[in-house]
Amino acid sequence: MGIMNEYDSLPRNVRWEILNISNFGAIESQSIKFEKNSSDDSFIVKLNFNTDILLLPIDKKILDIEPILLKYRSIFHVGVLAPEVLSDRANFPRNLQHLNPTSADQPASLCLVRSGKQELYNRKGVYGILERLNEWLNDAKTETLYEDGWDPIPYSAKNIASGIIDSGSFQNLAGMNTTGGFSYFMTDVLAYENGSKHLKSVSSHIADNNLVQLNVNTISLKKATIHMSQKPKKLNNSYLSRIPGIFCWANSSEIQHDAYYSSWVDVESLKKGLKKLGMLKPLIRAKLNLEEHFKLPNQNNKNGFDQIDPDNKGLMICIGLWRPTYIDPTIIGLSRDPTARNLELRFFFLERKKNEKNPISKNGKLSEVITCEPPSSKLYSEVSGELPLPSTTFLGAGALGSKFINSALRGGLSKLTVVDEDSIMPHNVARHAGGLSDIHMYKTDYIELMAKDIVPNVDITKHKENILDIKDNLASILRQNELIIDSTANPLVSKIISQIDGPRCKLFKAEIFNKGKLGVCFFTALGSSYSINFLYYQLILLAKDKRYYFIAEWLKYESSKSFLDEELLLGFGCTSTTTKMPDYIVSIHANVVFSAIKKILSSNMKSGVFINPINDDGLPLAAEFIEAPNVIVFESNGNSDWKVIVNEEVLKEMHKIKELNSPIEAGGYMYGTINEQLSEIYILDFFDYTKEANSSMAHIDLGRSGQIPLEKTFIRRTSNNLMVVGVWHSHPTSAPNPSSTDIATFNSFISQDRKLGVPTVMAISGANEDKFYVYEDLIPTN
Amino acid sequence: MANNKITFFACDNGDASLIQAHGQTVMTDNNYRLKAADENDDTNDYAPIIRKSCDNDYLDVFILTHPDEDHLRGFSEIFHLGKPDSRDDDPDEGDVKIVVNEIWCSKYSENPNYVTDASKPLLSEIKRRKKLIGTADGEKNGNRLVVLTSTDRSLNKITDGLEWRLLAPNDDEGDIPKAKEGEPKNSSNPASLVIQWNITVGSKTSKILLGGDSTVEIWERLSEEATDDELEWNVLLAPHHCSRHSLGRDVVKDGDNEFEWSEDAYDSLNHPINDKSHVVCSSRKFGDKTPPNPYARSKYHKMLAFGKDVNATVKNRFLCTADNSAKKVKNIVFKFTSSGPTKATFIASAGISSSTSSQGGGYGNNE
Repeated sequence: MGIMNEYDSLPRNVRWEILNISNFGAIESQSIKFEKNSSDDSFIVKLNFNTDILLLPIDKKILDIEPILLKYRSIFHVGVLAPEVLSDRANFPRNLQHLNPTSADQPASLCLVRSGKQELYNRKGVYGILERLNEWLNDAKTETLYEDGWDPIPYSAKNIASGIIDSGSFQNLAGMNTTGGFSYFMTDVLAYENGSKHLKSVSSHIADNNLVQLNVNTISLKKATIHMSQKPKKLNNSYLSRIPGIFCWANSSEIQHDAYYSSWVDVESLKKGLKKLGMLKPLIRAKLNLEEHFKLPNQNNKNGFDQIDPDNKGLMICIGLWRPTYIDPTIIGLSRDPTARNLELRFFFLERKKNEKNPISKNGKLSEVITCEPPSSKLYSEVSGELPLPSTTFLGAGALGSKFINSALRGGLSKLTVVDEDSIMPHNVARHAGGLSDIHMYKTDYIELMAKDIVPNVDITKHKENILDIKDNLASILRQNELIIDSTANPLVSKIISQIDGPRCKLFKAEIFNKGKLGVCFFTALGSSYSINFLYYQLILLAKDKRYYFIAEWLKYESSKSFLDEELLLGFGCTSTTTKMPDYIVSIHANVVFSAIKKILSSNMKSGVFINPINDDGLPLAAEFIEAPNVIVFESNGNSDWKVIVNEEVLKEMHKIKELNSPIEAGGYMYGTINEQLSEIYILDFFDYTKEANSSMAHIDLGRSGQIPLEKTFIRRTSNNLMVVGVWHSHPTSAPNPSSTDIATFNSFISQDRKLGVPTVMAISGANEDKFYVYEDLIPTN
Repeated sequence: MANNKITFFACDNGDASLIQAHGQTVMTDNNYRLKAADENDDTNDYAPIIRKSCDNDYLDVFILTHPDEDHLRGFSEIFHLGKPDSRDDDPDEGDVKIVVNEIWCSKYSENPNYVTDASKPLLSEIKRRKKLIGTADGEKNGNRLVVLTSTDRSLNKITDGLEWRLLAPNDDEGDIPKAKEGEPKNSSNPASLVIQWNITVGSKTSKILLGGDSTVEIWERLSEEATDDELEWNVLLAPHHCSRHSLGRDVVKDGDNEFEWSEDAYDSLNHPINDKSHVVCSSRKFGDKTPPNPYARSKYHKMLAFGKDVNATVKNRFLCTADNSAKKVKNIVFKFTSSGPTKATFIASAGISSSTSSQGGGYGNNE
């Protein structure tokens, strides 16, 4: 190995790297040297790194100037593969956290990032590595390496197995028994055939009656023995067997700063490490007890462990050491108990050789187990990085509904109710989450299978009835959960739900209109003044604004004949009324609407409509939340059950016109809709006819409606979906009581409206108050 | 990783410092010179650091120690003036201006005797906010104004771990009379806000003393009134860019003009916590022009020696922003950690450095 002084003769990648290193603020550029190691072809850059100056005297482990080595795999890998970062100081402290496992005769290797060093190098080059090195050295110097939590010691054994283990429950057990101890657990081992290799996946259970604490619960021991006596089960491409495990943890007063685990690479070093910690004897004692209770094999016992698991004989060991602080809070799946979380666990899988009885013998094979948290709603929520949906009732489990349920489950939903009477039909497969093997299955059954395949312990309730058939029970069904997502596309369902009073469970209704070009989600709460029906007409009202041209387009399309022509009618008796639409369009709306639901749940928005228009090519236009307007509700004084719900802005506009024309009477037509089932009349818009009318201080004679240019545009854009629901006029200087002239006029309207089956509405704004009159019968004229 | 720190920006003979602690950003004074934004000019452009430090382009507090040009220059280049709603969040040209949630100033800055071209933008902003005091709007971010007068020097809290103590000016010091016509203008230096910052991380508290251009009279008063605890510092920003007029005064003795050092003012400033404490001098290089004054520097060296001899190690703890030796690091940074304060040797740049292999990246399948 020699110093390479000829900088100019170096390849460009190396020159560039060295230039970047020398430009780094904390590095003394004159200290940089580079060498090629002839023994392993590696390329090494040596440098002196300036660390921060301490203003308080502490026993510092890091020098003000630290000699550092950057080791590249070869000169060709400079600029391509992230270098190893090593200390060039023989007495560099080895008891610091965040050191990679190395032997004492090798330079200390600094673990700068838990994972992703190469990604860092890809993104920011050597600058990123040096930036992290700067933080590492200064954190080590100020003894704050684990200020943000303890980073687990990196894996170091030669053999690695993967395991699905609920580490949090192990920590919790130790957290409740902080004086230290041991317990037993069982492990399912799946052995896969893959050529000559055996890959093992380990899943452990340490809960309920699977947890065996010696001298505490002998019944559980018996149960455990039953599990143990089962022979390996042949699965499709693997064998499933069960082996025992010993969990051994230290006394919480013994806090360990040293890496320890990093040097446990085989059975011998494991035993040596445990001995140093005083944990070997308890482990051996636990193993002897285990052999006695579980009748592990000995020379005279043919029914022992060897018989159970001929190919995978072995033992699991879990060791728990207490650290000075909690394990890094960003790591998922660990205990939330602040004390228990200080326990760093390490799982080892010990395999015996043939004819070897003792799994802890020096001939045993040791594998470190990389642990993953078992699948659960909690795990998905943590991985998603947001709160899951609260318990939810899904009305409808069709194309849209099944996609919502899928997203919700993968985001951590743990309790749901599904209501749908349909079965999966062949044509459903084009858009539904189900496949061919699910055809003829009830959609609710399919959802249950899907849910359990995603969240094993999901709490699911199914209703296979038509929602209209269970409307009497619907209230109690809906009250089981905190949220309702209705994707039935059935207006009758909305009406039934609107009749249910609180608790103020949040309600979303998702629909796709206009051949997939408009995704909509109405949001309100049970018992709110804003029914889904009201919000639907509020959506229609948007069409009058040119910005919402796509709503006008939809209404025009629905009022055209082509809408009926494009219905998809499949076979005899099939009642599918959905229109032609590809799966990806449903997915686009499902995903965007689901995002909107999550957003609405985390915000203070009361009620409104979310719209997601897309163009003919399926590309997004501009999704938008539109909050419902403030409304004033006029309720009957007891003579009728009609309620008039008026947009506050409309009422304000009427008042403005009244004042403007006072003392002359003003008047105009009110637009909206009438909901007979709910006995609700919605006043959503208004057109002033005062100028067109013949009016005086005591009289106003409105002309025919539909004559004002703006009104004509309104009618065109809303495609007649909003109708004249009544007339308004003012009594600017008197009370809002109908005069004999008013009564005579409205009696003529009532006669006409009765033929149409709708009530007649008259509104009068008096000097100080407003009154709405709803007439179904003729008013006496005297 | 330490995210709590104070940065003294190199800005020639002026002051500009930024405290970032426990999620709060507090800037004291500003001397941002226009040419800093010229990439062909060597003038330190610290605006990107401030922008990067301010979440969503909001600064929590801006403190104007006194309305001299070298303490407020270029305010409107970095910060928004006027109603917070009127800020352009996405200008077609240039950077987003930072909205200052709250401005702190002295009684004098609220009602100054003189307004110059340089001071006009910030003083007008103070005036705008003054009108809003007592209204609901005046409580909103971007409208708040706090006028400070020292009374009991008690410790106040911005948030847990970030506390401050106002040492000066008191009611009299904040009231500077306007000079009579024909007479030289009265300096606003005696009305400088003097604040001791207490930044606690874990169990360790770091103390920073910032005093604008406070004069010898202020420090003499504090010598009488303030306790050791109220005056001590790990880091002291030498008042008035290391002017000797914070440590003494011009006198006429026997008909001669002389300079007289004040023992009381020295005692008042002489409160380093230990022999690792530092003094920062925010000024041009020491030379013919003063401040910075080399004799005043010797006084600070003596304080830093902590009763021992002044040697090279001691002198190295007196840091001038103009001759910071660390390459590429124009600003001086102290971090606050659970092991106490440290002087940073290197601070990551506001942008991402170039590199041989930088190629961007995204969310991949290698979880």
